[in-house]
Amino acid sequence: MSSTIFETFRSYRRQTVVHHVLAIAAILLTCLSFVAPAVGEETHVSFKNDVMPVFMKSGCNAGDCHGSSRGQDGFRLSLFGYDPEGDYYRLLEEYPSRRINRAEPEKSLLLEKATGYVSHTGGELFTAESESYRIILEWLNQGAPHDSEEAPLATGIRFQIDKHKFERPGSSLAAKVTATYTDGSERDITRWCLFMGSNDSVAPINDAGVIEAKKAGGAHVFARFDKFTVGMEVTVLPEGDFDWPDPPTDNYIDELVFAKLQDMRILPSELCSDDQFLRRVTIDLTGALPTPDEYAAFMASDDADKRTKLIDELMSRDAFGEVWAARWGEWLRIFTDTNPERGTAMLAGWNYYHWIREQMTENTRLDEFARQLLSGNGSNLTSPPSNYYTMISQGKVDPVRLSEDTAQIFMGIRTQCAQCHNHPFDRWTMDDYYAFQSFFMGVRRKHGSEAREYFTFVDVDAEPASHPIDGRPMAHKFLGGEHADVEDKDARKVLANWLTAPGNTLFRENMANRIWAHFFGKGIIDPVDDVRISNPPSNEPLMAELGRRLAQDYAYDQKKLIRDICSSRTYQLSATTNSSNEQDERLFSHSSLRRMRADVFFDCLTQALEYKHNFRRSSADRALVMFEGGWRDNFNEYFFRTFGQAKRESVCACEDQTEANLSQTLHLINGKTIDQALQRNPKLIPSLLDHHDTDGPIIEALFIRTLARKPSETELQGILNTLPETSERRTRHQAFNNVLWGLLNSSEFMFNH
Amino acid sequence: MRNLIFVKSCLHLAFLALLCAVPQSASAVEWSADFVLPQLAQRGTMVTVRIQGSGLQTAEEVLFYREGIRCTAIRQLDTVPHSHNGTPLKVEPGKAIELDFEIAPDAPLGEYYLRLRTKQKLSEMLSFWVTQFPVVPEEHAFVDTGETRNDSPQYAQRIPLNCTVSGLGCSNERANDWDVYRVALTEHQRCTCQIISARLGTVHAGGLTDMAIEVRSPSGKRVARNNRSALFVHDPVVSFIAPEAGDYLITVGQQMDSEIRNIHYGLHIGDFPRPAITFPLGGQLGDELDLDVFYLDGSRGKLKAKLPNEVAAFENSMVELTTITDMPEIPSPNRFQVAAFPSVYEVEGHSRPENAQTIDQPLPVSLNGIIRTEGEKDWYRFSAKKGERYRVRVYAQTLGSKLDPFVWIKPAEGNPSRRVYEQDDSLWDGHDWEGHHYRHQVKDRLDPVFMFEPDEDGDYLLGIADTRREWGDDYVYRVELQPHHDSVFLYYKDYPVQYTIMRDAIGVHRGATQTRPFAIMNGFGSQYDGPIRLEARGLPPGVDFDSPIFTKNDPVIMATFRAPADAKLQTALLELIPHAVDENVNLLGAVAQTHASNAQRGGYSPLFNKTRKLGFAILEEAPFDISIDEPGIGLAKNAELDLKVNVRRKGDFTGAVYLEMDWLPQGVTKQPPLIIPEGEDVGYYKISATSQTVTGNYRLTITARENEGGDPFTGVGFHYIGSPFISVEVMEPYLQIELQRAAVEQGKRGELVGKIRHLRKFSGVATARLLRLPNGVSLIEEPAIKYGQESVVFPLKIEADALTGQYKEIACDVKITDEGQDIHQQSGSGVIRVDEKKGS
Repeated sequence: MSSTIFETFRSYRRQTVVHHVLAIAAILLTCLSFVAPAVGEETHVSFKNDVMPVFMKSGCNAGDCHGSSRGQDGFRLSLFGYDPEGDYYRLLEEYPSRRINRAEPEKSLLLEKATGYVSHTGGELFTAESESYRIILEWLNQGAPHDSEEAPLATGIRFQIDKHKFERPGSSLAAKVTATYTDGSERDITRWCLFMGSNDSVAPINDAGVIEAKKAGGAHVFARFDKFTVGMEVTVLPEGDFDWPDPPTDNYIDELVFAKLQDMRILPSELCSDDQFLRRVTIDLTGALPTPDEYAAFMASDDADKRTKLIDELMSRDAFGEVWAARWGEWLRIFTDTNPERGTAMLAGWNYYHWIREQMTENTRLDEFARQLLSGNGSNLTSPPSNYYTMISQGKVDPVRLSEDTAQIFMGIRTQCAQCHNHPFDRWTMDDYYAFQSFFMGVRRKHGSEAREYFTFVDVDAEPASHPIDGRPMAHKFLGGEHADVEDKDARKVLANWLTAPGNTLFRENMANRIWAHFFGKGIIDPVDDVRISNPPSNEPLMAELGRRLAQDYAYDQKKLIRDICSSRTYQLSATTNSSNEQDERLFSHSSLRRMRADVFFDCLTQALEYKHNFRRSSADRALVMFEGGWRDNFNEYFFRTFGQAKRESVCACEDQTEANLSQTLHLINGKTIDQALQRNPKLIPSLLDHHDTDGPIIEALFIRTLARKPSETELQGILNTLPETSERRTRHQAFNNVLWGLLNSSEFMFNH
Repeated sequence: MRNLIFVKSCLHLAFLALLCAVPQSASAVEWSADFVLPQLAQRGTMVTVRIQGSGLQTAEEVLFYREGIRCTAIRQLDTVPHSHNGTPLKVEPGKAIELDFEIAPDAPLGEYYLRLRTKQKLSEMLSFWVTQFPVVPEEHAFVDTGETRNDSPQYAQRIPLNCTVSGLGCSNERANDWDVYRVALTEHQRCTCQIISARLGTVHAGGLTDMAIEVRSPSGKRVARNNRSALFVHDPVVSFIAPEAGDYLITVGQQMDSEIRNIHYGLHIGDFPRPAITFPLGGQLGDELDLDVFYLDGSRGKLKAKLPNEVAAFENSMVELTTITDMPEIPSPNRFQVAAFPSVYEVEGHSRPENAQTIDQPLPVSLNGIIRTEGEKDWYRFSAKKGERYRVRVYAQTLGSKLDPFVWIKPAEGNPSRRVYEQDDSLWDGHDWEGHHYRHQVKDRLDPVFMFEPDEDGDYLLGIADTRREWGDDYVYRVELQPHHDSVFLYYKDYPVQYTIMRDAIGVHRGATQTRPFAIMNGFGSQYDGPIRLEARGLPPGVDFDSPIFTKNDPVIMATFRAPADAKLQTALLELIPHAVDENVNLLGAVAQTHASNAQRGGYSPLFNKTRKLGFAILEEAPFDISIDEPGIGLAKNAELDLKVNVRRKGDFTGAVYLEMDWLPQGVTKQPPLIIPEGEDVGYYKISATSQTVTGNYRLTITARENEGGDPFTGVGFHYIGSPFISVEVMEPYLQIELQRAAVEQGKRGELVGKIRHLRKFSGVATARLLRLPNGVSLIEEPAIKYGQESVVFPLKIEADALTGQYKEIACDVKITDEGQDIHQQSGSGVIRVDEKKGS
């Protein structure tokens, strides 16, 4: 659950309604259009369709009220109403006659508490004159009946319009939400919805569903009713004239990105320079800096197609696969223990990592890669994909974790909330959750030929998961899809086939988004593994097209998509912003400054220093290829921890932390990483001193090997002015050490830009 | 295969010398015999090997566990070669010896367990291997010139086909070292490369040996790669048909970065066939069979097998494939199960219970088949009679099959039985061995073993499948429904501190006794619970063996060995056979001893040796001997007994002696180890019995060693001496005292009365004192008790500042002197209430 959105959610629920004119008008309009049975007439009031929405709208069943797992003040409701049967039982039967007074309905504790007539921790939720009060009273007057089995159930909700563009800040819009039911009927349920927004600084929405355009930008607003959540895209255009310069496009990515920018009246930045591109793409594709020779060759080339050729060349290196193996190693949580009684053995992790590395260097199709992982069977020591089932949940097989993590790894969906209640900000219900968990109920693990070895296998006759509320066996059902035929089959293989089918947008878009995020530091849906209705893509057509191309046009050959991305003008835009895009952080109108991953940064440091680092207990020559990540190198564990290397305690992509902070700066300044390399058996500066008699070329060489560019004239003169006027080698060595130290401590070095 | 620039700095060499000067074990533990090098040799040759360890100055003899190798000479060494460059490094006296092994021309191939006997000790178990091929030493990296040697294709070491390389992987210098060999093959020639490394057991601690092989063709194509095998688990093996003529590069090394160093290996490289598996996996005594052979190189073939007419018990019912076929000898040949009962072969089309293959002949029988398709289940139908007992034992992983069998038996339709059997894996006892359930996980235990005991006459269905739903033509199985025999096994009891893993051999000093407790384990499905006696076979002449009758009251059976003072120093292989005391009972039994011989980490031992015979040696006279005086009285329940232990010192030994009992009956507890100080000859070892102890006569011994000067973990440097048995009777207590409740007052005198119940007559006068009295309350005088007295009064003095309140668990300790020996017995549970002084 996103705490930010949750807080927003709560604050809106409690927020005093803004009684400005438009809002009142909207409410009146909404009331007039309400097609539900008028309360107070000879009409049946439904517990599920009329009473429970009152609970949700009033916040009774929220997590901080009676919806908490232990309830509140002795009374518990299911969180956001995921268990109507249980709620009905607790209202009427848990303490008969306590909460409901059939003889004198208006004296029911339920109403007396809600109106504040009797002391209520939650305060007064509505008045006796309110419609909420009248609905509940009417239901009580009717004898507080439960719904019959034939009673219609909500099947979905929708905004009347799914996107809206405000021409300027300062205007507002009253949203309208309609629910459809199993009997085919529809109801305006706007006033019973809970509303929230993704960007309150641009377009907040209030309790009544009124959207206010505050400033230029993009946002989404969401409505929740029953177990459904829907979103609406809102754009607020800036004031003033706007001329779209029609910048050139290199491929479909640019067309889709620029279309969005044009729509938002944002101008993209200029194209980045050759040296900027060289450094950016080399780090992104190989996790390394361009060498001085590569710099010289690229800068000297006048080939019009040299950028594309560079992309192809970099992707042909093993390092390209190693970059992705490192990422997958984190997402798949390769984590081992020297004592196999406590965790998965190192040998298993080693083989697993090298298998993944091989898949990446040989560019195995991503759908095939996923299929192999999900179908992993046999020995964790000889059948590496089977480690999918020993790494995610070490110690014992855990279908709960396997199902949750599978959804997160391959679809970016976090289903955890739905384990205990229907997802509050997404479409996933408990039924969805347990039906999906059933795919993993048959996974078994046993010891193999030795204590380190585990065999993973599947009991095809295993019972499906049972619903925790009523114990129903939950037949295997794909997330957001149909029931699966798993009879006498390995359910995981059935799941894998569904997941990787070219038409499955959940998988293909998540894979495309993870790739995209690698090159932009931010996903089109961000975070990449928090896909939900309330976290929509910032550019939906772009997301859809990338996923479609990856799956259908490229048959999950990720290199082809990466080539598209790196070849696009969007990727090659400068990080320098203009007045229209300086605030943009979501629409890719300029290149963003991205701090390098911890392992890549460590490798770039040692590369720039020409320092051979010996990793403890490892034959690896780079942190990037340490099979459990660089942080397992005891010598430099502090470095990797400080720079946010994923600990692999979960499959969350958020574990790889790339924000910059003071600790990192202090470590570079005071820590041993740079200092040790400069002091111990240095080779770089002595070599430069051997080859150059004057200072200028040495400074230029240091700039190229660290920042992949030559110094500006100002920089050069500035540095030259600080150098001692001496020919004494030791003094000069120290002076250039200082120059190199300064370059390595610059933010320009630490960031990819 | 990395280019590593070797910097020949003096500092570096000094560091290397420092590293290599210590024994090659990564552990700081001192072993009697740490390792033997080289660890393999060709049959029919003489080889000089080196053993490093401790206390080797008096090395005299090597005990081999099977015939084929003879040690003809032992020489002391004062230097050992550097493991990589051969530079002589000085070693302390007694740390290294050189031995000549003469390997008979007809010596069986494979592993030989051995122990080294010095005058003071029989060493830990080591392992030596015999190959039919000439042994070629690896040209290590850093030899002579300081350049890399065989760790890259450029410097690949050329070797002939059909040889065994004796190599060293993972040097001290790097986390991962790869050795590359070059061998010439003709087109279509078979080549098999087979590693022995984990099985060598050279590395005792600090890591695990996990090697890998990769073979590339002359054109650079990878033709084979393996890091684990169904046949040998940790040790890889590849076999391939050469696709082209030319030089092939064979690379071997630790498959992952490793903390361990000096991993020795043997690499058989030859054109010998390498069967992966055969079908069937077994047959009946005397059978002549046509075997389908699945070779590791992917080819298939046929072999004619002539099964022997008799086989030995337990695992010895498995014979080597090369002994029953005309296949040439190969290293580590496949094994083949031979049984006394007939075999039934699978007929295709029996994958459902309704079309189960019907077995016509009566049990016992074996079922032989293959799981060929995904999720396949093979069903058999057979008849059984109520009251019969069978051990259902599956042979698949045990014999190298890839199948992970899952087996079930259920009644067929019409059979009223409701009993269903399902089994996936097995415990150690199903294989007639003992071992730790987790640490000693081996592939054999993936084969299910269970008892089938039909409770109704009628038809039953047996099904078998692969647990993982894997399949293939080499997923072969053999299910034996074996007739059951009750059995008993024994092994060294391992819990006493003195019985460390290295004391897994029996060394008896001349003129002294050696004591050993053995754990008794009921054989699989065994229902025998009567008394057992031990028979010792193979003892040297003059050695006395003594062992009390074992009863089911205790899981331990004791044994003592005593060598005469003039016994010849020698070794022997000892068999201990458990027998039912009732000679009419047919009880099978043997030693089932596992020896951790290999890499261990966190107590985890991936490979270990198993023996049915125990190493035994007569050692030179120890510097002391011990005995316990027979106590004149018994040990009463709830009482203590001091056993008088006598140390008889010899020569100039005056040091302290450390004593501990290895075994006591259940309910009898012992004091912490007794140390008889330097120069003293007598000590008292206190034992006590709880009320739960079973009364009866028990035979006890005690074990002694020097208090210092050795390694308590490995036993190196110590002499272990046992006392001859003494008899101690655990008996009912003399009396019971029931303390009455009492109320006393601060500053006054009071009394506590106890009622006496006499259970056993004693002479003389007993005295009693109170235990656990509250602060400020004291016993004025210990009252005397005579036999027949009905009560006793304890006079108490209560101080003015005694803490008030009620105090429970007041007990009394009664000292009874009987037969001249003091017996302390505790009794009673009283309550005292201390009141405030009245008027205060």
